Amino acid sequence: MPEPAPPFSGRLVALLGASVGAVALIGLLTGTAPSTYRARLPEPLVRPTVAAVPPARTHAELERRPWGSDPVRSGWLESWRIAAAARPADLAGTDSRDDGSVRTALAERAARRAFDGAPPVVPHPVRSGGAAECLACHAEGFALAGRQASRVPHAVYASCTQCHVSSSSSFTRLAAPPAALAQTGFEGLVPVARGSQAYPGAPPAVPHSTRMREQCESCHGPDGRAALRTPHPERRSCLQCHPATGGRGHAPSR
Amino acid sequence: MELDRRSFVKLAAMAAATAAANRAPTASAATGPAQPGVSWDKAPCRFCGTGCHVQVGVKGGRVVAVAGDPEAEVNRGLLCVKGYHVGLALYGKDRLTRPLLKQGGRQVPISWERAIDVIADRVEADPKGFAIYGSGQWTIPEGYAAQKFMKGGLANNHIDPNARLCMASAVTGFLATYGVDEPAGCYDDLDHCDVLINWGNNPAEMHPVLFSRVIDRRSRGDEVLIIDISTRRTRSTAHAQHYLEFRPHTDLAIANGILHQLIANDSWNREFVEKHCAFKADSDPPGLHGRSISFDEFKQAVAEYTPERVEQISGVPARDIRMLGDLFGRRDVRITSLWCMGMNQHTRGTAINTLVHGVHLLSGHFGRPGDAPTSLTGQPSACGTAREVGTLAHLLPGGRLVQNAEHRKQAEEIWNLPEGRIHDEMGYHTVKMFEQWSKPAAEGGDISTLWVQVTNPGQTMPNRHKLFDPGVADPDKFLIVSDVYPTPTTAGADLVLPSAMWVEKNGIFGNSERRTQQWFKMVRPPGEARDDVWQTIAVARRLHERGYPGMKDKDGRFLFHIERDGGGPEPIWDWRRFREVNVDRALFEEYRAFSRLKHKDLAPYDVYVASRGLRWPVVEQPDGTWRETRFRFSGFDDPYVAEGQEFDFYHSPTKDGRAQIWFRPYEAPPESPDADYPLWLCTGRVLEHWHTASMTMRIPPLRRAMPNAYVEMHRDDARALSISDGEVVRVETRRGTIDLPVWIEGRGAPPRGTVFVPFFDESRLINDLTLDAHDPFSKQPDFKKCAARVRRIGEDANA
Repeated sequence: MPEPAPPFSGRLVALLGASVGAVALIGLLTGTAPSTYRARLPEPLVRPTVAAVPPARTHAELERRPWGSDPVRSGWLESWRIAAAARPADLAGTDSRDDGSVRTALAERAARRAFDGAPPVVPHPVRSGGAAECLACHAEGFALAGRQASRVPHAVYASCTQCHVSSSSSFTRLAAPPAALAQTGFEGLVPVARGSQAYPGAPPAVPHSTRMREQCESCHGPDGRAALRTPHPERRSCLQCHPATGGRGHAPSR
Repeated sequence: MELDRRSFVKLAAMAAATAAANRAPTASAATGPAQPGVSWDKAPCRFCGTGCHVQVGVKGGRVVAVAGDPEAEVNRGLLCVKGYHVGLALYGKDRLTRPLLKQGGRQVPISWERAIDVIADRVEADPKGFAIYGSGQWTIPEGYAAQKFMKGGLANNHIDPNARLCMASAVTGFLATYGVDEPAGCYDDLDHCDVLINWGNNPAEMHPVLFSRVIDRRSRGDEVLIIDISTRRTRSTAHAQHYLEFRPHTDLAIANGILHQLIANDSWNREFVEKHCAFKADSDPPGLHGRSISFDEFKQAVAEYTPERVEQISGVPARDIRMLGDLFGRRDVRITSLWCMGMNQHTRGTAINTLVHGVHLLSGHFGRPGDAPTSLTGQPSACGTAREVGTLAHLLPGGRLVQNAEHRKQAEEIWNLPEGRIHDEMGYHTVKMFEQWSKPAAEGGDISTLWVQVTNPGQTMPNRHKLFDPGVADPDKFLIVSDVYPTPTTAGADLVLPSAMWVEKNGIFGNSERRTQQWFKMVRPPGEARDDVWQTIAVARRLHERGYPGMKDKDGRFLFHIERDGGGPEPIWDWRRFREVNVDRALFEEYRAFSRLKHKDLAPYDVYVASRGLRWPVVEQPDGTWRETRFRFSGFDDPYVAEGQEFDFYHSPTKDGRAQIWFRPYEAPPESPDADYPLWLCTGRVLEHWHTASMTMRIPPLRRAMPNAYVEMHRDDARALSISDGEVVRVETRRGTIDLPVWIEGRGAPPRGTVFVPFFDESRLINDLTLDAHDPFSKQPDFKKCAARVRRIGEDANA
């Protein structure tokens, strides 16, 4: 007949103790370790000094030798690196999101959309090439000289111009005067400024549909408008805490 | 363990249910709304023939947002830029909101009562000279009501849609090949093809959602070979591995070249052809169904189209013709052909349509997922309303012909009309209708009144100076236009009727893949705008009240009688009571009886309410559910193919289950460039605008992106004339002239010797210049080519 096991064996107690200790240690280390967030930015190969700034090119040169054709010497890649190096050293803790600045940021955003959820127009001329031309800037997104190339917030579709058209005619040398803007009485859905909170201090819900806005970083990451940036960019799994109330679909089935 | 097994079984069942939901009319529930106060409902997009489903967000009685519908099989949540902004089409500031009657040269507001009286007066004065010109933008009930009013009520067959300018050659191509209209395949082919061939087609701009459905497969690792057979480089070319540039009109030589290669290489599909196909050639005199020929005669006929000869005619290198021949000769790849206006707007439109079907049939690239010759439509219900309801001058609903006594009898039975009511002569097709309207009565112009609904012929008729302007100027001719915005057509109208549009009314569309799609009214139309279907019924009722005999059925009831619960008619002619009953539902249920003859079975209205559209034939199952059909004539999917048979062309023109492979020679176009007019002029569309842009030009983001028409020109042609990019030049043909800015290497890039102008811009009417020559079978004009010249403004043409 086997001997009954004691209710708490010594080995079990020891194991529990070790586990608690390990968890505490991990917590301490993660809590005090510096954010690894900036690790995604490549280290600049060339530190920006006056001598290292690439010479400007004429448009004629650009046609013969477009940006990126000799990335070692210069080109957009280098510009991107310079831009990356010029970012604020510490993004964490940046929280400039008072109601006024959020509203301003949303209004800037709305200016490029017919309604909340509409595909934004492109604030520069668009050529007829494929997705590669768009993704050269918009795959990762970057800021340069006050201009912002947003990171594509949705899965990459191959025909960008299917949904995104230029905000102005691509006729850069059109002789005729620009046509008067169409008069419309349409009043589009406006974005909700803040997501609802279950209780004070709870993570706010995502106040918009997440369809075609799957990459939160596109607007809320370090390249987004200041007022829309997350105060904790080191946390990467947004929907873990922020419920996506919008869902994917809208119309109920009958 | 027990629990695990149970959850596994449950999961498997759920997966099976989800898979089934893809084909079943009811789908899974969606999650709640993101925005408070916004209600969402489904509708097909208002614009092209793709038939994307959108979700329409309504707040405070107005459309405030639009989203792609993730439950829709057509577009799977994605739209194009027009679709995303379709909701704005309702809110242009200059919507027509009151009936307007021309008095003393001015259009002045009148009441609806008066407007209906004016139309009834015109009908009574000359019922045989009354014509309706409609469109593939009519909803199915709208087209059906107009059809019944004209052919059943007025015994007048002068009703034709703008679809005549759009896909009539596709119809004759299908009829001559299969004996029945509309594609056998569907959009599923785009998910399975290894090769996509665009025949004179630019889907990246015209059917963007379908095109991205193919190229997005590449992002997921699929290899798809895209071949662009075209007369100019377009946005679609940028995604193609092969660009085959041909001289306008010579696509017939290319298709014949492929047929030649299949036979020369002995790589044609002998088994498929011997079992399921027969051969045809033109008869003398020419007829839609030609004459049967033997394979040897066929072989002899195509023998002259060697790759070298095709290169001579078309300019496409012989090695590329061989490449196409080799591809079609392979059994291990699936090939889908797509075409639209390039093949249809062609004086040899029927011929090239039959040839491309023939290429797929001779090679056996037919009827398996991914192997399909597929013709696309440009309007949301070109298939549903123009083709299926049969709102053409020679058709009755459900594929019936006005010249067929049996068919007339069937229609009279369904409509409960006295025998012999329907007239046995074809009415006027579009070009003829406008000719007879533009010609003075004294010279035999016997159309005195033309009622235009849901389209804009003042902008789209070819050779406008001949086919539109004279009728407007003639005081004896009367033009009635039902529309939502002022257009070049309403500008010439004697009576303008303000219409409700899209989600301001109930509707049903039928898209390019045989899919019937229903939606409900979501917002109120502005001002006094009213549904087109009400306008037709109100005129019919007014005539009925005045004792017009045709407005009664054989039991003395009103032509549009809807029995009220508890007896008596629903007073649907009274606008205040129009919505007491769902008129769409009543008309659709009546129309459905027509759908069986050609095996285009439609399900009850309520089944469409619960779906994102279903592809006909939709056949009732033993368990009471309704099953759609994806691949017509294919035994594995089409319920009308007998068990055990792989294929059956059960509407074969030769009544033996065989599809017809045609020989059709290349012939020179009616007008070619010469010393006086040395350039080809091609017309077409752009991504941002739909049809004549009466809606899209009123949508700010679309208008800003593409504010005006232009002429695309090759750099060398421009240089030779000392023309710089952006300069406004004069484009001339023998029929008209127009000033346009030049765009070099712009949206599209034509080769030397060709210029391209889009037709959307109502302030720059390119159809003043186009040719009204048309296909002998389909009567569809050729908007794609004529001879033109370009010169600097202020310079003499002969300088």
